[in-house]
Amino acid sequence: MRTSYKEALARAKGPVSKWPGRGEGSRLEPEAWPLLAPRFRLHPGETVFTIGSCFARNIERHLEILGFDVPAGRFRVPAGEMPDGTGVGLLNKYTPHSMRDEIAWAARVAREGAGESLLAQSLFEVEGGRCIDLGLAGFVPVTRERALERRREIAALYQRCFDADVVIMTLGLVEAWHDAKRGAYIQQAPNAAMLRHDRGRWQFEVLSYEDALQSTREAIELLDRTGRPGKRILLTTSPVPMARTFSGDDVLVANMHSKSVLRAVCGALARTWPNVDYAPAYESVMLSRTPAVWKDDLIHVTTEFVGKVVERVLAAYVDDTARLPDVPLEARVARIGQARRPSTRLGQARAAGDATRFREVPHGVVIFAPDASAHGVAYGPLDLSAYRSFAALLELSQDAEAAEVTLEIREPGSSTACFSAATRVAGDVASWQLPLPALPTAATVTLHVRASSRRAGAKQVPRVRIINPRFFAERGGDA
Amino acid sequence: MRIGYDEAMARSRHAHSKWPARGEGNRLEPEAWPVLSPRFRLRPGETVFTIGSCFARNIEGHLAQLGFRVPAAEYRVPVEECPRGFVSGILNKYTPHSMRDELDWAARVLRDGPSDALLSESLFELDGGQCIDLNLASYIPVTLDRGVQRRAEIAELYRHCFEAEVVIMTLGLIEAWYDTERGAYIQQIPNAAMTRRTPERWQFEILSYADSLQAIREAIGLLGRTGRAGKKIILTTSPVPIGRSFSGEDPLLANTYSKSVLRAVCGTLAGECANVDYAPAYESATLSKSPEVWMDDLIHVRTSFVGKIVERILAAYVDDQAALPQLALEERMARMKAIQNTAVHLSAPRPAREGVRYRELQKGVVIFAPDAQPHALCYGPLDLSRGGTLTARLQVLEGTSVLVRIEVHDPDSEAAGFEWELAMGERLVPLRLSLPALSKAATLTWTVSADTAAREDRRVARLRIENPRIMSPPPPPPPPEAL
Repeated sequence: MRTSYKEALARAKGPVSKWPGRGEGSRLEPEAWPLLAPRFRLHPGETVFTIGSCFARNIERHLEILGFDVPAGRFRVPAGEMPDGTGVGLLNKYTPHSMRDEIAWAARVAREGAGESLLAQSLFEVEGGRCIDLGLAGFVPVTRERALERRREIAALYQRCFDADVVIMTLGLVEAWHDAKRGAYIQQAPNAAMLRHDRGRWQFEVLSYEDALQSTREAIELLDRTGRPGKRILLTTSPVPMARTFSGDDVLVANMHSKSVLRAVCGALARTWPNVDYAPAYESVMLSRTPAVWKDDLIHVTTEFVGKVVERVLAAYVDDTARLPDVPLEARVARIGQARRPSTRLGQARAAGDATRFREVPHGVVIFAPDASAHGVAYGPLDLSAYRSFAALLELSQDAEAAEVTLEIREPGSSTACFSAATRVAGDVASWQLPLPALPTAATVTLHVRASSRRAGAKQVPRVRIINPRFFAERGGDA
Repeated sequence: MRIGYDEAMARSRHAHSKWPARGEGNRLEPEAWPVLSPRFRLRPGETVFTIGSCFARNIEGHLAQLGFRVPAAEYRVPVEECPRGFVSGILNKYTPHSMRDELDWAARVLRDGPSDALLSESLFELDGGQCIDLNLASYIPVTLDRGVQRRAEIAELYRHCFEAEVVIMTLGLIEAWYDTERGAYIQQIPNAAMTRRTPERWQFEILSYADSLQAIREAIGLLGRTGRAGKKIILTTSPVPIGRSFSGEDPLLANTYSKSVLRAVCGTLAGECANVDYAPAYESATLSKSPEVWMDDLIHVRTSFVGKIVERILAAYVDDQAALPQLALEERMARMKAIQNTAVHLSAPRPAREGVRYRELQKGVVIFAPDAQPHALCYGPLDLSRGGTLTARLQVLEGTSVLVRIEVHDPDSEAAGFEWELAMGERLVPLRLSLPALSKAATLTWTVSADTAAREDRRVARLRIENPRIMSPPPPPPPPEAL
């Protein structure tokens, strides 16, 4: 669409139309706070439905404290249903397609009722009668009964996206996985259980701009014509990069492509409807050059900075800011920190014994290549006196038939363990949750793994991944 | 396009498939240097044709120092035609459409010969036999003859893009301007000379992803089927942001949208053909959080950082590293500086005698409040031995007629080596004045007086002089070093 010279010039009047230089009062350094020009208003107390990548989860906690009704922020599942043992993040939708598909599913449930075939539509059966929900993050197997129950919970939750006043959609990734058998996209990269069942079924795809635009447009149209009319939609692009790429490029390059496609989609759509706006969280995070923006993983945005982003959005979108609860940023950050189950990661693993074959990959994942004899890694000494439970996700490779994993905690120098427990994994993925007794202020933690091979004499070595072993200050939800 | 799990996993086996965490030896902090995976090789001595936004100009300087033949970096116009005195800035192409259109024009010239019609296709005629080339940056008016002659030079230059081994395309902006009369895109926002008579002729447009993709695809198609077969194409997205947005949005937003569209276009096209690659200069500049990346305007990337980017690209793309000239970054920067036009900013003026009424605002802006008595300011001593072009913007704020007189004196001489006078009837005059070769220590004097008749309404005349400076061509190059 072309506009006249005069109109274009009128739009570009004022100091904010020019890129700011270095110096006092710049809105670019040290932190970038673009001027927002809202097309609609938000009112404290309104219902905000948040859908999208993990950045949607970050935003919703702040919105809750600041007086909005945020249904997705209240949704909880037992801790063991997520690989990291937190029970948070199950609702994450990383790609435009997965957002569109979940909203389309919820709209069908609203139309046709929660029949069993609809509830079971995204369930994938693994060994032992358990199910993985391919439309939910984490891919931790649960019983079929629980999977159906959880789908009912999600159907009830998602009815709120149709009657909410506001929907915030956070676009995360364009790297998508597809289930060739069902002809549908799945939530994330398939895990060992899914691969063991049918390796050829899962496909990888980098979504194009056209596809990402189309599915986000469909999602907006579904929201528009279902439930409350004229609901306001706020688009954001998540600044949180992908942790791993399957494109073959450096992840720094692949992620930039991914985010550029999604930011371009947001920009194109925000110009299309009067009830759709774009909130520049991505800009603030990407253009700010202070290290305080990022956590040490350089992936997640600090709670403080997310809090500032939400503050800025509300300052621009809320008329009566006096009606917002007067909770300073520090207090919000502290409250969010408390609500999280405080946990500790185990840190650097070292071999416990000479012949141990293991490899530590980033983000607390240890891969063992064990055989019939036990291989072990040790951590610590750690102060475990404040912790009350242990959780980890165990994953077996295709060539592993079964594995036995032992956790042992002892005081340094002591010959007897103050705690030990073992579990046998015969399937492929299992969440391991353990309540713990009172533990010492200095303790060494060892994990031992023993595994049997599926095919005797096979060349492939069985592998066991221990994902995110952590101690929690509270007892696990389903322990 | 979908691929199987095993193939996807094989692509993800390398260490750089995972996002680096904070700590020693990561490739993200303090500077971001993604691992490059070239699809083809570059060889020192090859001809590289650079086309695109000002970032293309930044890159080409380094490439020329590092042993590549870079025709666009050798192209020169007289100092007075250079936008802001920047040597080859006139070649800047900011939008995908302007790149495509210039390549299309060059291909037609190659096919049909440089006819007058083709050479004057983009010329916009002004009064007094002057014209503006709507497809060249800066829109500085030149004579019609020079307009046509310069087009012939550019046709000659652009032949190289079809013969080059390598073409680097740097995508800059999606905020475009359009000429409704010709039905063609123009290079940048129309200037006062263009809007004075026909403001409705020029329109503004934000190019879509689909349009940008199509334009670059067409440009690549033109390069592919004209001249040398199988030439290698490197796409980059310029990290240099838009200085001013006409979208109505904060440019922090409008620019991120603009760059995201172009970066998405690059990513889409780089996967399509074996001879098209994407080089992540944009990633390095925008993901590096060190303030050393940016100049103080927070727009341009420092020469030193551009130099590092070019180094990294060549380290990945060139097999025979020993064949590259062993020139340290500092030495390359010094040599690049030596071939730039020099700009002497006229700053710190002093009154030529007592009682001169003037005020110096920031950034070389002087305001005079003259009366019938001449008021004068001096600058210097200045080295004007190579001559140059004096440029400034003169604006009458109050009063109807102001007389401006410029003199250049040798320190030892009473007579002016150069003098020039302008009676300002118009409110705004962009001054552009060729100076002959003068003294090494010359003094420049502005003298301003107001028409007394204009004072009958009792208002004080005021004249604003903005950004006065003298640009000179670079000194002759030193004789080439023996290899």
